[in-house]
Amino acid sequence: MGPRLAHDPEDRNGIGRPAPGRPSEGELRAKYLEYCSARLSEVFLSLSDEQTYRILEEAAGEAGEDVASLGFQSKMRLVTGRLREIVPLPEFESWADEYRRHPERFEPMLLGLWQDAMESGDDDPEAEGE
Amino acid sequence: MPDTRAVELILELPADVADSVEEVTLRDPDYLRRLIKVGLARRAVFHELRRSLTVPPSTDPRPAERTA
Repeated sequence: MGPRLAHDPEDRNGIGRPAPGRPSEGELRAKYLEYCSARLSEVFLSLSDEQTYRILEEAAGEAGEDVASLGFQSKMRLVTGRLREIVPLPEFESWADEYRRHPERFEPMLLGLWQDAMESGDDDPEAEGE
Repeated sequence: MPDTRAVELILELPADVADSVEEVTLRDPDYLRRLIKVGLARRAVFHELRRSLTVPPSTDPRPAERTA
């Protein structure tokens, strides 16, 4: 089960009504996920096709799946899982503290996926993708 | 090398951006391919993290400001 993004009971500000100058808990969580996805994507895109395929084959073998029968979303699921093991990601709390102090350092990295996540709430329509 | 196939996109863009896309398509057609790959990878990784990454609740001791 994924993190609760849009209807977090601790998010007292509510979606769409963040306190002025202070992001809501839901917004911070969604932006944290997008920041982490940017970090992992950066590594993923630096890989050659051969490296990507090797990682994919290893991950698929461990999961008992056949690469040839997998679609794009399933391949990305396996590669993302493997990258999470080797790419260091910040803890949410330390990242959130840093974001609260210097949002301008992070905003340029965000493409707006976090907004879609907040608008669609907990139910990610693409969670099962294929 | 993965299998490839052509895909046709029709996008509604501001006119100046559309002009620029056409120019880039002629001058550096591979750039748009790379751009789409970057965007799709970011999106797919984001959705996978959202599904699988558990983010613990914030322990920020400062009380959240309230709106009204």
